[in-house]
Amino acid sequence: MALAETQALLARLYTDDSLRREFFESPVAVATRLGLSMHDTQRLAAIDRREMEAFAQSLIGKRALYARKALPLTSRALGDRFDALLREAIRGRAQDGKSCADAAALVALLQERFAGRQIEPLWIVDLARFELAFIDSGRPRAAFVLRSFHFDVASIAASLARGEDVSAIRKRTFGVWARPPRGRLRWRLFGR
Amino acid sequence: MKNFAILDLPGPEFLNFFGLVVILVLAGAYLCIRFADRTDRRPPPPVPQNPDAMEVAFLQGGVNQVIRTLIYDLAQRGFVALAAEDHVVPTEKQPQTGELNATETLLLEAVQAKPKAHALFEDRALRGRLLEQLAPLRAKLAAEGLIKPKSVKIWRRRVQIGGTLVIVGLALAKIFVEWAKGPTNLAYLIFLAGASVAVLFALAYALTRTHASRRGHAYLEAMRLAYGGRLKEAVAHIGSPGPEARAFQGAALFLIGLFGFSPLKGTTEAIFAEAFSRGSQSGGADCGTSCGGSCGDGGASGGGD
Amino acid sequence: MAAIETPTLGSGLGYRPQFRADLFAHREEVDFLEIVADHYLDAPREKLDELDLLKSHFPLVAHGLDLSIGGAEGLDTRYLDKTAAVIERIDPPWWSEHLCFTRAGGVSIGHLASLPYTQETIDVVARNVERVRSRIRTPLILENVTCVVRVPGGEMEEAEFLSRTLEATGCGWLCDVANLHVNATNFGYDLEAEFERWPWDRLVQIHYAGGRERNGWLIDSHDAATSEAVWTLYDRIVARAPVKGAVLERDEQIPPFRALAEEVARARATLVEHGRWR
Repeated sequence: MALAETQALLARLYTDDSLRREFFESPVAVATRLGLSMHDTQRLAAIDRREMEAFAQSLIGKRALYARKALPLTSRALGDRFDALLREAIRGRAQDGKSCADAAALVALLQERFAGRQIEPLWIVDLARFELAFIDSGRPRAAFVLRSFHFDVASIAASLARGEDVSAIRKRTFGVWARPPRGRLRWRLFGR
Repeated sequence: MKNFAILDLPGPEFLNFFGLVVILVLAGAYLCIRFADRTDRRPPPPVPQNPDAMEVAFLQGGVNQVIRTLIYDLAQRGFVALAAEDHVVPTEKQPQTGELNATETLLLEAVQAKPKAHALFEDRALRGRLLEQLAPLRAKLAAEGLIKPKSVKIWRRRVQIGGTLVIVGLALAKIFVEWAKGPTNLAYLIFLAGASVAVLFALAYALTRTHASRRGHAYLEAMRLAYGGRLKEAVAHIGSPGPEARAFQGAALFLIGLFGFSPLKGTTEAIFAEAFSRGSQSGGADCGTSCGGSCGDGGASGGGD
Repeated sequence: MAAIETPTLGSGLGYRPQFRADLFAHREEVDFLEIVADHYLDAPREKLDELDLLKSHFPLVAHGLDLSIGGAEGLDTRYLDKTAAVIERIDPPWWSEHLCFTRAGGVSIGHLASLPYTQETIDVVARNVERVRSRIRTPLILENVTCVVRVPGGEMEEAEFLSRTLEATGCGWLCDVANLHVNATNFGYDLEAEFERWPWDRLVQIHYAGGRERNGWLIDSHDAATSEAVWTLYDRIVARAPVKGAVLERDEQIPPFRALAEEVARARATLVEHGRWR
């Protein structure tokens, strides 16, 4: 068995929905296209589809879980919509090894929706960007992050953290996050 | 005096030299005070499993922090309240015999006169009696090297006197030399000398104003790291109905000593943070370096498998 | 003879920051901690301070997630270096990784993928372990994983594959009891009957955890209390194997600390009963 090629194909099958569908329709074509010998192809064609789907779904579930952990308040505010939006945001994108990449993709999707006024409540984008700023400034190298918000994002976050209803106020707010290399994060919000 | 070529330097060049001397004096002052406290040669003691609120408060902010913590505790237990214009007033509730310890009783007596919050800090008699009662605690902390050793105070005095002598002496020598030559404008040098001495004193103050030694700071920092999660939980309970509303009661009271009143901002008990921040500059540690909701580990805390 | 010569650590807990305060307040109830090394790679100052704090209060072992020790493309040098830095920082008696692959062909799978049970795979793992040893001197032990996808073309069963891999690499075994139970249940083999086929003499550490059932599959989700079936298996393993430490893993729906401490105490009682711990 050509282990490297087999593992490469498996990795793609686990993470790529369309390739997986194609593989189960025509395993030989896909496997040979991806460099497997006929012998290995025939062997791999016997893989259990149910097992493969279960594993692929568990990967998506894990990514959603990490994204919820990365954006806990956004997740709380979006409720049941969070997973659906995340799935849409990461569709076709394999995990790149960084758990924050999926969170960033979700924030980008929310921003798109915000531009088209297709998301409610409108402050959700500010909240997601606020949480993402902590992730962006949490990298090991020195970080300096500036963000501007349309809403009073600090009180939105505080209300959600306390489990209270959010009464969002439109208020231009600026945030600064700074961290020296491997140092402590300092951040502050300035309202106008 | 005329044998010192330095003193004959023209004005701008002498000022450069003077500036260099000031920098060296400030650096020397920093090093002397820093190395007067060598308590951090030992690692901090283990984080206590049941931190003592008075010990933590005293270490964090001396008598002021003890007063804050006690007032907050008495308020939680219904014996005192904060009234208009930052007055601390007793309530109608009277303690049962043995319900309050000696320190708590002392504070309760002190608020009978309905003082303003800041007046409690300025009450010399109260401070004296509190220090008396806290003497065993202070001795215990000193024995463990957790509060600043006396050598820090001694060295602070030395660097203040020595540094001032060097800065002012050099300036006066130059003034003497220049005056001997005739009328000249020395206002900038005088200003620079005065400002340098002020900076020296400010530096000495900043390096010695906290109560804890370097080992003590490491100990407090370890406690903040270990128990910081409890602070968030406790703050979240403030204002909730039922007994949980008394979020910092009993075993959780040390959190007020450790973090001060800053975390109360934005809660229904923000009045404490406001009254006591007007009352004293040292409001305890600021915990605004992390986000309440999301900024734990950036989602990296997914578990093992 | 034990697989590695190390001290016995007792009954421990997989550290998660969510219960840090309770852990410090009740630290006599936990003999040692297992930290997830990946949480401290490229870590900001706060996380490293946390690691130092844990180290100064508990014996620690480290657990890696993403080394991809069974990856035929070899190891990621940068990842290995970062892991080495964490391990050097805490100086544990041993550290562990999963016997699986997590990336291949430029794709990070994001989870532990089963290896084909072949001699070629054993050779790859042995080569990778040698590479790890040249960088990290602390003994490495390997953990059996939950198998969701059985890769066709296997030349042996899991027990034999594990035994031969540990033999070839000289590594100790981190036996995840829950994973053994999940695989046996999902694929319908009789763990009782095949018990002696597993390499018990190489066992160093145990993981145990609770999971759940989804669509007829048992999932090792670490989000529930340990099941009685897993406890029964745990008891039998402790009676049979030279266990040096047992660790409870709980990642989601973390209950009050008291519930975790009770599971740790139960695991300890079995260790004590069989003379594995004081």
